[in-house]
Amino acid sequence: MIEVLSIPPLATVQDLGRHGQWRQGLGQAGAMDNMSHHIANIMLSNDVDAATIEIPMSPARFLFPERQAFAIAGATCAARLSGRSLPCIWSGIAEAGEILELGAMSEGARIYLALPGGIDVPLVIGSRSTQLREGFGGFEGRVLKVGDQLRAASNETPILPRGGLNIEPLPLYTGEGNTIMLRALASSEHDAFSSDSQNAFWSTNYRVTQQSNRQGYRLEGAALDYTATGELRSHGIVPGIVQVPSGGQPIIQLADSATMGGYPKIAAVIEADQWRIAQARESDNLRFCRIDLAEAAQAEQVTAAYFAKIEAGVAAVTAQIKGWA
Amino acid sequence: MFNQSELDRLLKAMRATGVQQLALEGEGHKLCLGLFSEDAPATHSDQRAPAPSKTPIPAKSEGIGLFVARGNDDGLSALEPLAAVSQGDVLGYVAQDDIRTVIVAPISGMIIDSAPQSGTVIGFGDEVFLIEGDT
Repeated sequence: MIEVLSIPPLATVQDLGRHGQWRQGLGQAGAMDNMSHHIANIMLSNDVDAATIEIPMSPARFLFPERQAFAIAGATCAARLSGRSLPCIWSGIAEAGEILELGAMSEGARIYLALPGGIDVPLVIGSRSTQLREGFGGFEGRVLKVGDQLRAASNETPILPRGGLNIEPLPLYTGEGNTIMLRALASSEHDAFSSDSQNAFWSTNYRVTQQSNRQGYRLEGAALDYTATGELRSHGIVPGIVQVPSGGQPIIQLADSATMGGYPKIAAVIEADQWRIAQARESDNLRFCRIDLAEAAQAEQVTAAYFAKIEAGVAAVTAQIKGWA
Repeated sequence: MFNQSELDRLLKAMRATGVQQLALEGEGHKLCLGLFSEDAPATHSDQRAPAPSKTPIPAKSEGIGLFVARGNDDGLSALEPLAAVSQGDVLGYVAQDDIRTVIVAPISGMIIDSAPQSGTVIGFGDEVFLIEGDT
């Protein structure tokens, strides 16, 4: 069990999302950074869809009233367990009475906290994710607040080294000058943007603005000129879609995106790179890199292979510890 | 001639290499170290060197793999030589591919060994750091 001692707004319980309800007008919700969500779960040998706590701001403090395994992954945040510094990715054991502190984030924008078996919240319409707009799912359908007590779905303590486990982090900034590179497909209205706009979109940086949340990130950069006349009919949109409203500044739809929209779409960020958007901070620079469907499919396979590899790696370490015990 | 940390390192090296006698001279001082058996206490005749008062405690590896220093990509500061550490502090990692077993300080004190080079092969139970406890 873990008790919230202090927490900024907008921390929620999330899993991999509520899929298959698009036609009902219900978005998918789910972890914004599903890479860190996966890693936190894998480090505790959890199912990767087990619910975690998504913490988009810090500082935050949690009490472990009893001995408890846990994992953290995501933003670098000067995490401390009873005063001892922890790596930004770590799983281990907290003794009864210990306090986990998540400090200022120095890289990245979201931290994921996992407990064995996942956070024990009810399954609602196929998911444990918090549907903030609709007010259901997750922990009582709301953001977490001081005094909330969240239980682990499993009472078993996973086998971990006494000092804990760490996983080599994937780099967030992979472009020149600390730019976050996002691979994207051209979307339906791509060719209806002027050629100058298309060039600017694929070759210049876009800055993350303050108007960014789980629904979407508003960007600032070269204005994009949509040349087609007339209004588009509303159409289905999904996380990753890059829309361009009349001002010409793009918006990337994310986990809590609406299911329908009427703005023209210039691109769609592939799922394998959406975690990077979730970890982008205000003023970070994003750069879109155009790929095709085959490359997107390959990126999906690479991500799946990476998850399988770290899952096997954790299982191997666990087997070694059992053997040496 | 040598401080206590350096003497401890010399003794450790003697034990590790099977050297039973070591004599050194310099700057008007003479130092003799002797080991009569693996477990026998060291003796020395350097008048200025204090008698050993603290037994360094090793931080051991709980995994097999390659050493990864703390502070490269983990959000922690790098560990300086002779750094003061608290019990439970992360000292480094033993990596098998992407998965790293954390090496932690068994006691509070000062690290008296330099960290291994990143990429050094480490076995289960290997003594990776030596820590001299706070008194």
